[in-house]
Amino acid sequence: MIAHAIETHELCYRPGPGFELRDVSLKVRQGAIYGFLGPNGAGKTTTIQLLLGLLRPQGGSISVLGRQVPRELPRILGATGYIPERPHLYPFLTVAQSIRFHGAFYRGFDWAYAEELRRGFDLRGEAKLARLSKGEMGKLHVLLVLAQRPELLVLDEPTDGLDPVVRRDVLSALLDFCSQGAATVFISSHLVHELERICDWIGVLDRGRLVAELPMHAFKNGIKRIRLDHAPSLIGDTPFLLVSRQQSALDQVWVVRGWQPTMVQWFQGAGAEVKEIVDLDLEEGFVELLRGARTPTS
Amino acid sequence: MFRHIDPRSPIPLYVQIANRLRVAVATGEVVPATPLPSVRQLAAEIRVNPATVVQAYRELERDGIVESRQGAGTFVRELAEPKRASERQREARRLVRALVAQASGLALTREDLEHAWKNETGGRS
Amino acid sequence: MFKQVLVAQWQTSKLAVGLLTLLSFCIPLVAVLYGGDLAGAGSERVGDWLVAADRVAQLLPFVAVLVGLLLGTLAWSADLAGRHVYALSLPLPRGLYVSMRFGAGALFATIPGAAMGLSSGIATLAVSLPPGIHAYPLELALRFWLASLTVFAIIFAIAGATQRGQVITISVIGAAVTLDVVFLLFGVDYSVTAEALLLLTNWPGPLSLLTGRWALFDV
Repeated sequence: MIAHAIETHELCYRPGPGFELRDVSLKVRQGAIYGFLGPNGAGKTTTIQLLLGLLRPQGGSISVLGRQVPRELPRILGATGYIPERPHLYPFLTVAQSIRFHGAFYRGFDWAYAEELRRGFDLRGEAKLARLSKGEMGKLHVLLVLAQRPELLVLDEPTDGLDPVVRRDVLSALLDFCSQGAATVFISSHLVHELERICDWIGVLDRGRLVAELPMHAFKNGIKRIRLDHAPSLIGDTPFLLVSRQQSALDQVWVVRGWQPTMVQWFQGAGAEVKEIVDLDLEEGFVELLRGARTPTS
Repeated sequence: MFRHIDPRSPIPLYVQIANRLRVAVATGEVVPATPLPSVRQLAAEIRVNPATVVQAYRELERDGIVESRQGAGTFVRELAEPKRASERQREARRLVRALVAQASGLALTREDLEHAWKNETGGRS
Repeated sequence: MFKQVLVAQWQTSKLAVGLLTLLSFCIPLVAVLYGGDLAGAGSERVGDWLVAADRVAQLLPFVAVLVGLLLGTLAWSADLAGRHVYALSLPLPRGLYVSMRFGAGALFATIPGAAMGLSSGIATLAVSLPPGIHAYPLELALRFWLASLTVFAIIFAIAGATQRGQVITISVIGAAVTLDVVFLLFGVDYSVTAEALLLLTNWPGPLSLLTGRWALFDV
């Protein structure tokens, strides 16, 4: 029983000047639903392409489902369901033909489940892929990967551009699948609030570097916005990680990570008054984390 | 029933789900011996991580609100009145706590709140 | 798996296969259109007829090239649309996938060849030849089939190459052309492209099958 479904060690990729993935060390636990967050251009899609052997890294190692990439790639891909950012299926096939095509390559493809999903998603078998709407195409992608009954799902913005109704259908099908077994899900998305519902781990990528990787509850509980009066100007060691400091008209606002309630005492000792401690939701926490990662706090 | 689950809230999702069920049982909204939806069903329906549902059910089982029967599923238990009352009060206190916290953040006084309470509920019970 | 690749590739190639098969079928028949009973005809008439038949038969190498060109690119058109992502994400070695695509395309390329062979046979039977003139339907059909397969293989390789491979191919051709232009400007009596073409089109160059005379009827 392998501990990590995906594990990279100091992954490096530099296709040219202006973009670089540096020292990315991911650890995705078996059975986790891992949300991969990051602003546009951070390198999320590139990382995913490296994980699946579509790109070759310049340095570092990648292991997926306990096997090395790219050495054992076909075996890995046989147990992995992948939905890329841009549609990649063959446009001249019909829905039924594309299901038959896809299923022929995977041992253990569940034809009955595929048919059940097709009906549930209301996809007509004779419809040509080139004629499908964005939502229908999104649903077809999900149908194909779930019917594989994979051990690992790698989803690159699977619900991006889909209307809310389709998004719900897709998420429900995905979660239904997850409840049936111990599949690991690696999902990259802009839709932070969607990730917030379903992920139990998050990894944050910014400008090619992994800025944070931790359980969802730890991230949300641990990151706080603190309103202070008489905040200390010089700080030595803090029991928490200071992400950012801002002076507003009325008071100072600090954003910290690794917060524990007992740390109020530290502020009192420094002569400051804690006026308010605000919980940040995932989106706010993500924004603050990025801000802190980009500007050095003096 | 779970329409108000808020993933943005600092309260963990499993706690929110468990609390909602807790109150439903305490007020009689859900009667004893009712089977809870399966983990699979509920996770897909409210679109949350199945592990979250498992955790919520486990918490409820630990607190004696529900019991799981091998092969049959999870069922609501018969609760004695004192227990139900304490659950109701627990939820009520939670609501009041949130209200008080918000009000003090806006520097509203207790008088303001009592006045508002009388106005909103005056005449109606 | 191969069956599915075949079905998928047929979706993109079927129109081209249909048209090319029709074309290949017609040409040998058109070649003998003005034939008939030549058994007792005079040598002048036989000569004229042979020239006419030849002229039509000379279309065959062009059709062979067309078969190879179209089917070679259509073999990859579905994958090129998605930048090969789908095929690369399927759980099989790349080499196996490429072989299946090639096999399917080669199979399709055989259809016009078979049609051409059939019509050559019909054409041969339809005319009664004077003594000294023989028909070579089988040889011609075989040549057509091999020529189309050769062109198919070359175009398949280029169309399915990685972006780097394609860039290299185009660069090499571009460099050769540029070199020739430079030679021309400086009056150097050498042409890289001409030499390359000579190499390719003379035995044992791969394109040698296409060059030379294509004749259904000959002495």
